[in-house]
Order: sequence, then C-alpha cells, then structure tokens
Amino acid sequence: MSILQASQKMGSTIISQRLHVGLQQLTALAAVTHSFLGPNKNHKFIQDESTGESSLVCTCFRVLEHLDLTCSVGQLANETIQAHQKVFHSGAGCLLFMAGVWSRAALECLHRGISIPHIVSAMSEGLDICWEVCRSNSVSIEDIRPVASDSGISVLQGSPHTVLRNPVTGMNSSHGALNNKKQSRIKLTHSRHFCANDKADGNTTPGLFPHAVSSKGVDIPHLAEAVSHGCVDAMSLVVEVSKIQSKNNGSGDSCRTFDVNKLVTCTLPGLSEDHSCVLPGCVVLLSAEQASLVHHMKEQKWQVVLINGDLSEKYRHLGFNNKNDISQVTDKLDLKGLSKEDDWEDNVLTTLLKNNVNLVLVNGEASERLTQHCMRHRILVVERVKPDILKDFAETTGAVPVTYATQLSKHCVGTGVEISIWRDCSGNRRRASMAVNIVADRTALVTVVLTTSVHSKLRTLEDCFWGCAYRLHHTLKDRKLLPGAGKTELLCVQTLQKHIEDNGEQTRGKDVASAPRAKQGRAGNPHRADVFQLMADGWMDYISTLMLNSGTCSKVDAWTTINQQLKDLNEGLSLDANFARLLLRDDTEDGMMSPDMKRSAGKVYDNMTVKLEAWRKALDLVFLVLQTDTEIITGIDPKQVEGQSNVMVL
Amino acid sequence: MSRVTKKASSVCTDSPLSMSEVCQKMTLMRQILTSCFGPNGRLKQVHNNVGGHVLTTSTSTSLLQAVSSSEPLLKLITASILNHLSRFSDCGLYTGILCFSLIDHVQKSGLRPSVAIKINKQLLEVCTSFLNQEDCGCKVNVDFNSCQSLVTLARSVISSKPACVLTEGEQQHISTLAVHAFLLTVPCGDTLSSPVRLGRTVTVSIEGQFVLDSTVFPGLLVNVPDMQLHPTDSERIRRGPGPFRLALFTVSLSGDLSEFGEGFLEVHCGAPDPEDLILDQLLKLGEQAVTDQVEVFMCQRVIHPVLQHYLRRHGLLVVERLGIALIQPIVQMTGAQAVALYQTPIPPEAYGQVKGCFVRTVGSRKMLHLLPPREPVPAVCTMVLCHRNDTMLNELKAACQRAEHVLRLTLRDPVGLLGGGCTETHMAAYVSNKGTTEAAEAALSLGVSQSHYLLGLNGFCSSLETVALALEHDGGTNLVDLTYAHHWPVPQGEGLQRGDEGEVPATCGCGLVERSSRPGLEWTPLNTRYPLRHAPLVVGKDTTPTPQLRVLDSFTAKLNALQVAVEMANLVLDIGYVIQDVN
Repeated sequence: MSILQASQKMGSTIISQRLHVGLQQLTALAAVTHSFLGPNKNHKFIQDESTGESSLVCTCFRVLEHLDLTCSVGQLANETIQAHQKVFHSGAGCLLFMAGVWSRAALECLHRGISIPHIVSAMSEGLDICWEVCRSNSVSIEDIRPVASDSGISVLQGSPHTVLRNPVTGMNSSHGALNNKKQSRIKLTHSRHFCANDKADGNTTPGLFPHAVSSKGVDIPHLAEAVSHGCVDAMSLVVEVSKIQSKNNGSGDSCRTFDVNKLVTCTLPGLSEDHSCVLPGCVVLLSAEQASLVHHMKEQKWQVVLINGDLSEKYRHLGFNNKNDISQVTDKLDLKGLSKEDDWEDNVLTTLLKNNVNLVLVNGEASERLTQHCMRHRILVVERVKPDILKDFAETTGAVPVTYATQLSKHCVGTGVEISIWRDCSGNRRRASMAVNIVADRTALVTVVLTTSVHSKLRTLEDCFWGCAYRLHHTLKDRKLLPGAGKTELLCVQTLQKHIEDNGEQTRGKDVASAPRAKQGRAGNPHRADVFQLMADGWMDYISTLMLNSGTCSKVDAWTTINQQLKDLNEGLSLDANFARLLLRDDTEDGMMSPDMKRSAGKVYDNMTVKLEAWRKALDLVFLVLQTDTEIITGIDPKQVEGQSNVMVL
Repeated sequence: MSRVTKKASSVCTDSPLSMSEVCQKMTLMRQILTSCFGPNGRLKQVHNNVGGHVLTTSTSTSLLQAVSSSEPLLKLITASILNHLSRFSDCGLYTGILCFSLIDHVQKSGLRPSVAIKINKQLLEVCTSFLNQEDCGCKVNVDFNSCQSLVTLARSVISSKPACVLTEGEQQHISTLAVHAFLLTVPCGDTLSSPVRLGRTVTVSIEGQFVLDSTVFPGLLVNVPDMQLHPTDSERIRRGPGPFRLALFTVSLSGDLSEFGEGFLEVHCGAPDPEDLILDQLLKLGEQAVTDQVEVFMCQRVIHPVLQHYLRRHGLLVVERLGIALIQPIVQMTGAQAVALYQTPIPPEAYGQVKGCFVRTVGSRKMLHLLPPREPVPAVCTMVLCHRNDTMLNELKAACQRAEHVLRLTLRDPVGLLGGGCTETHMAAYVSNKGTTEAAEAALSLGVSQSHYLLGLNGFCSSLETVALALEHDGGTNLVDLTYAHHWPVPQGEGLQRGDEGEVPATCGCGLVERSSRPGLEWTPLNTRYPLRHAPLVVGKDTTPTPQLRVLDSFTAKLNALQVAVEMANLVLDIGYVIQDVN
C-alpha cells in the first residue's frame, strides 16, 4: 500500500511563510561553496564517515556530487548545477552562490509580507534589467588587446566602446539607455540569441574543423589571459593547444583557432606539475613490453584499424542477448585440442596480417593472449581508448570502426599513423608505464597531459584545465566578454539602485489616489523597490565574498569599498583599477607580484552567456523553491509518522 | 514453507463521510489541489522516502499519478479525475476542487445526501443546458481565420503552470509554437471524400538550452548516437532530394537467439554455429534491401554490427535503437509497414518513403531529421522544447501536450469558455437567479421542500464560486460585478474598502469587461451572500475596439469536468458503507 505523507512546510498564512524551510536549505547549501569564489580557491576535504574515503574538491559541482543530498531542495539544486555544468563547463559556482543569496533575499521579502507573485515578478524584472545592462556593457573580443605597457594603470577598460567609461551618460537618461540598447542590438548580430535562423540552418558541415570557432583578428593568448581567472598554468596549456591546432589547421605559427571538441586530457600521477604539456594526437599508456615494440615503429607511417567494443572471442555487441544454455555435443574425441578461442585468434591474426595492420585501437578491453600474439607479429594493440579519440582517428585516417575484428576488410584500414615514445613513467610501479604518443596525419586532436605528484589533486587539475578551456571556448563563441572581477555585478547594483530611486520619485511625484491602474502587472508592483534592493544586496554579497576570498580585506571593509565605488560611479568617475586589483592576493610585499602582473589584474573578464545563464538558472531555482508550499513523501508506513506534529497522512 | 494464517474478516465502515479521519484526509487532498490551481498556484515536491527523484509540479496529471492515498473514497475520486484527464488532458484540478467543494457544502448544509443528490443533478442539467445555449455569456467562438483565439487558448494552458518558469515573451513563443504544431497536424485540402485523420506531434526535449530556441519542424527528429554517425554517413545524408525508400523493422536484428524461447540447445560439433546461421540470414535480408534500392534502413531495436557494416558499405543510411515511441510516427509519416520478421524477404508494400534526411544539431545533440515524403501537408511534426532545467522542462512538456489536446478539442467544438474564473462566477449567478425564480416548480418536481432546494442551490453556486476563489493564493480579494457577474481579482496589499473603486483592476479576470468602457459597474466580494442576483447580462460586443481576451479555457474539457465533478460528488455522497478486505 502506498501511503502519502504531506508535510506542510508552508501554509497560506503569513506566519508560516516566514519559516520557508526550502529557501533556508538552499541558502545553507550555497554557503558551503562560498570559499570557492574568486581566483584564490580554498580546497575542501569531503570525508565519508561510513567508508572512510575522502576527496579533495575545490569546485562547486564536485562538492554537490559528493554530498549525500537527502533534502529535496538539495536534489533540485544538484540537478540544476549538473545540467549547467554539462552544457557550459563553467559558472556553476556563480550559479549556486547567486541561488543562495537570492533565496535569502526571497526569504526576507516573505518576512516583510510581500506576496509571492510580487516577489517573482519584481525579481525577474530585476534580472531582465541587469541582462540589458550586461549586454550594453559587454566588450567585443576584438577590442580586448594588450595594453601598451607604459600607459600605466589608468587603462583599465580594454575597449574604447564600453559604456563603462562613462556610466552617467550611458545610463542616467532614458534616452541614453535607449541608444545603448540599439547599439548593443547591432553589435550582437553574432550572438546566438538573435540569430535563430543561423542556428537552425547550422547543420554541421563535415570537414576537418566542424566545431572550431573561427577567430579572425583575435588575439587568443591575450583573451586567454583575460579569462584565466587565476589559473595561469592551466590557461597557458590551453593557449598551447590553440597554437598546435592552428598549426594543423594551416594557419602557421599564429594562434588563430581553438576547438574544444578536439581536445582530450590524459592524467599522469607521479610526475611533478611542471611536466604538464600539450601534444598533438593522443597519448596512451603501454606496458614496457609493448613499448619495446614502439621503439621499432618510430618514424614511419603505419596502418591502423579501430575496434568498437572488446577485442575478445567472448565479446558480443550491445543488445545481443547471450544464451548460456547452448552446449556443444560431439561424438568423437577432439584430438587437435583446438578451442573456439584458438580458432578465433588465428582468424583475427590472419585478417590483421593480410591487411598489413600495424596498430589496433580498441575501445574496450583486448584479450591478453591475442595482444601477445599480435606483438610477436609486430602489431600493437592498444586497449581502453576513449571514444572521442577513436572518432577522430576514423575521421583522419579513413579507418572504419568495426565491432568485430573478424569483419575487418581492406577498406576498414586507415593509414598515416605515427607512433613514438613520449616518456618513460615506469618509476611508480604501474603496469602500463610507458606514455606513447600516437598521431594521425592531418589530425586536429590535441592531448593535454596533466601531471602532478599529489594524486588527489589530479581531478582538481583536470577540472581547472577544462574550466579554462571552456572559458576560452565561450569567449570565442560569444565574441563578447563582460568586465570581470565584480565590475559587472557592481554595474548591476548601480542600475538597480537607480531604478529604486526613479521608482521612489515616480510614486512621490504622482497623485497616487487619482492615478489609474494603467500600468498593470510589473509597473504596478508596490514592492518593486524593496525587492530590487534585496536583489542588489545579493550582488553586493557576491563582490564582497570575492574580495574576502582574495584575502585582501574583511567583509566589512569590502562593503565599504564597494559603496565607495558605487558613489564614484554615480558621480561619473570611472571604476578604480585598484578595486579590481583588490581581488588578487596582494603578495607584493613578498615581491611575488611583478609590475606586469599588477597591470594585468585590471583586465579580468568573464564569459557573458555563461554568467547570464547562471544568473537566470539561479533565479529559476529560487522561484521553484519559493513557490513550493508542500513536500509530499510517498511510500511511507503510516505507523512510522505517528506522533510527528508537522506531517499529515493522506 | 508457506504458513497458514487465519484470514482476517473484512472491515466495514458505516457512513464513511461522517468519520473525522476520512474528512481530514479529504480536506487535505482538497487543500493540495486548491493550492496548485492557477497561474499563481503553489508547487508540490513529491519524492519517495528513500530519496528518489524529486518531482516538482502543480499539474494534476503528474501529481495525482505520483500521489496515492490509503482512503478508498479518495482513491475513487482520484481515479475519476485521472480518467477525465486521459480523455481531455485539461481541467483536472478544476474537477477535484469542484467535487470536494460540493461534498463539503452538502455536509455543512445538513441536507440529507439523497435530497442533495437530486438537487445537484437538476442544477447540473441547468448548467449544461446553459452552456450549450447559443447565446451563453461564457462562450466565445474560436475563429479559425485568425490564430488569435487559438494562441490565447494555448497560452492559458501554458501560463497556468508556474513550474514552467516562463517569462511573458517565452510564454508567447511557446504558445505560438503549440498552435503552429497543431496546425501542421491538421490535414488540408479535399477531406470530404475520406475520413479526416489528424497527424501527430512528437516532442523532443532538450535540457540546458534557451526556451526561445524551441522550434517546430515538419517531419521527424531521430536520435542518433554519435558513434553511429560515421563520417561517410554525413556525406550521404546531404545527398540531393529524394524520395528515398525506407525499411522499418520492429524485430531485433541483433542476431541473438533470444527469440527461440527457453530450453537447452545442443549443437553438434561439426554443425555450423547457430549464431553464424542467423547472421547469414540477416545478411540475406541486407542483400535484399540493397537490391530493392532501400536508402534508409531503420530498426526499433539493435542491428547486428556486421549487417550495419554491410548496409553502410552499400550506401544505406542505418539507424538502430529507435525505441518504440517513434515507430508509430514513422509509420504514419512514411507509409512504411513495420516489419516484425527477418526470416522471410521484405514484402515490397512494406517500404515507406522519406523526402530527404539530414543531420540537424539541436542543442548539444545531433539528430537525424527525416522529411515527410508528400507535400503539401505533412501529418507528422516534431516539437523541440528547450528549457534550462529538467524539472521545468518536464512541466513544460506536459503543458504543451495539454495545449495540443485542448486545441484539438476545438476542432470538434469550435468554442472556448471565458477563463480567469469568469465562467464560474457568471454561471453561478445565472444558476442562482434561475433557481431562485423557479424554486417552487423545481422543488415540487424533485419532491423536496422549497427551503431545502434553496439550501442546495446555494451550496451548488458557492461551490462554483469556490473554484474562482481558488485562483487566489496570496491573500488578495475577489470581487464580482453585479451587471455581468464576471470575476475581478484584487491583489493583496491593495486594501479594499467596500465600494472603493480605485482599487479594482482595469479588467476582469478574463479581460472581456473593461472598467474604462463600462461605467457604472458595481462590485461585491465573491462568495458572500449578496442580496439580489440579477440574471447576469451578456457582454455585448458593441464597444469598440473589442477588448482582448486574456484567458480562454477549453469548452469541451470544462463541460466534461463539470459533469464528472458533480457526478463524483453525488456518488461519494451516496456511499453508505466501505468494505475493505484487509488480507
């Protein structure tokens, strides 16, 4: 029997609204990840009491992955974060942070007796306003160029077109704002928001670089620096990738292209972090025995076949129901002693030799005996190759992936593969210990080898690298960037405050009683100013947390600084470059920071689409939780809940 | 070892409605349904006690399917609502709220159930005949010459679900898409000779993309795993216009022996391997497909890689693991017959046709787009719905399917009902007026006393008004005007003194009555016994410009919902005993 338990978290009365548990849970969950904001991340250890396992994390989505989220709000948050991570690979921390602060804002609204539809409409209006602010303040990537080094700190704004430089004329009068909007519309022709047709027709063209983002006239190394967000080492690897890809693409030595889809990582524990590097093609780990074969294979082009699945006699393709109840009967003694497997091995080996195959890349596992056999015939079998790599080899070598080795024929064989030993990693008693580099002709595939001597840091390094890679990818895709280091948030706060003031003047200026309810809905929202203020406080919290995490000041100092900046902004002064620099840990006393680094600190940028989407999703999450009044748990034994006061049984 | 336990005797409950426990549960269910109602409704999070998936919804279909009760009476009501939903998709919460409210009012009024049932039945007839009148004030004709009323219908359905979390622009976009998809599935041209068959819409949902990226295509989108799109395929896929011949299989072509059922199989050593034999047969099938010049080879389940390889070598496009959901749409679109056997040659009439196919990137997924073979009207279309997260996407998908159903219902009955609670208040005023003036005759014909009749009438009308009241969740006030009896919700915080016109919104709930163009309106709070109920006037279309209707509900669905609610309430009131087998 299925029993339903309804726990009324929030009734329709205002008193119980003040105890909205869901919003509190969301705030608490978000607080866990506050220390991950900004370039100076603090790592966290997550320990599982029951198994004793622990893991080192420093990104928001990894934390949620490891937490045992029993509450439904937690699950909802996790679902949102993972979905965002899957699409954008960046910005999850910002999402959860904003969800946290805005759920606190919503809670505060409930405390003040503001009704839920009013909160929802005002908050989404606030976000819409800030979207527009971001769009008109975005900087085209063509405008972000290295600054001449002797012009000093004053060159904060990379773009001559940014409105940032002159916020008053840009935002004060409604006329100016309108102009801005228009301008940004024109500018945004490359944005995917406005080019639905382009997208619909954007069927992939088969070719060498179907996903590569074209970046004519763009300085990729410089852009990469602008969005490195403190991960200098990882970003330099990304730039290296771009260099290799550009070279393969025929653009020569210049850095012109970057294709995140033609990128794989390979992690090697044991080596120190300076050994991280970028190689064309793929890197696989082989046993010493196999590697000795590679020694003989140097500097020649070889033929390759690709196997989807395992290379073994027992293996059957996915969806094949293997029947175990087939038995072989015989009426005479088998004198040759040949098993089915021997037959199969012979068969495969003959096929491989007949087609002059030298290299077999297997997606799954390869039978050990066959691998040995093949080695004797100078055929290298590599198992556990990632599907992405197989796909690239299929595209570049002309090999056709097959499921069974027995079905191989001449046209399945690809050509033009070079194999070389990259490095001996045999120091750490691993079975597969030789790193071997396999490159196909004309490949765009690039492998980034990430090394560290601390094993538990591997995944963090990998996450950090992919974060950088995707930030650059989004930069080139959007062709727009937002001023980073909290400047965008500051502008949002400023704009919202302006709206609050205008709102106040409007209501004061008009005879309220006689004013008809002409402006329905949003404009008629009496609590707009309150909600905007609370929302703006959320962004203030974001900036102050950034500053706090950078270790330069306390939270109180941060608020003071931000308020000072806001005042300056309103008075028409440009944003202080020092403000942005506050966010970098000030190591100048130890002589760690060169003047060059100091200057670059002012040029931090954020991805536009990622940030705006993260905000939107954060607000979605808050809205879903805010509008939920009942949690229903099904499948509970009624005896279990007897005596609990806050639950009702249906 | 099985134990023998004594069979427990059945538990019999006498007049279940008088039990406080039953009443408590009914009240709880009523609260749950009421709080979900309307565009400002509250959401419910449903999950099981072992931390399963969290469902966040305010849609009656999802909610009632996920939630079950131990109370037989509630089960009965839930089942009837779900049954109504399976036929009409819409007005599930409406049915529930009205049903519970009717039961509640009868219990409070102290009427004997048998008397109340008679009165409810008679008033239901009054309501249905009123709604079926030509000049009924709640009805609006759906004009197929313009999309406006269709879009309004669709938008009313979509905007009533807050868990979709859509902005106004997004709501408009999705409503337009829903109407677009609906229109694509309606055949045009000469339909007199043959029976009209509607096409179908297949929904593909993509998580993590912008809502405004949602689109509608004629034809079908088929999911193709990345590895299956061989580089050679992409070239072929872009080949010039068709039509191409298509073969469709529902039987698994994986080459295993699973079809042979249970039991041992003994194979003689010298004999050929059964697996090889099956593969030979599959290849023979492939050979036939190649000689018959099939261009697209599809299978619901798995295709043996060797067969796939063979077909691709000969230039065929191979798609496996379509899933059962796509088979029917493909059959409908291409005219193919799904083949359920591979041991015999493919009959020539089983082949279907597609006009073309190419790879389309939808969000992060690559999909194969099959174009319908015949112009003009493709009967099958695909609606791609995008949303930022899974929860909202599921709710949006449900809402769109509901909108499609509601739009289809207009083909049978091209009318809509005023939304925003106006139909309920208007109908309540009409029924109340008619009932009061004809109370004596009605009471006589039903064989009840006139005072009882008036008591029942009042309960019935209040129940109708309760539905309109249920739209409000934030402490606002609900008014009804005394001329047209439309519903006027006043948000909370805009405090109302009686007769204070300044705080009344500019239009009524459905948007038909505008304050500015109709001076002299008077209001009274809803669900108070306002002294005199005139027969409500029908809003004339004399004013220019005609006000834009904001909310429009499905006529067919609501009419049936009304009937189901009243009949269910009557049935529940009529139950004297509940006998439960507790074994």
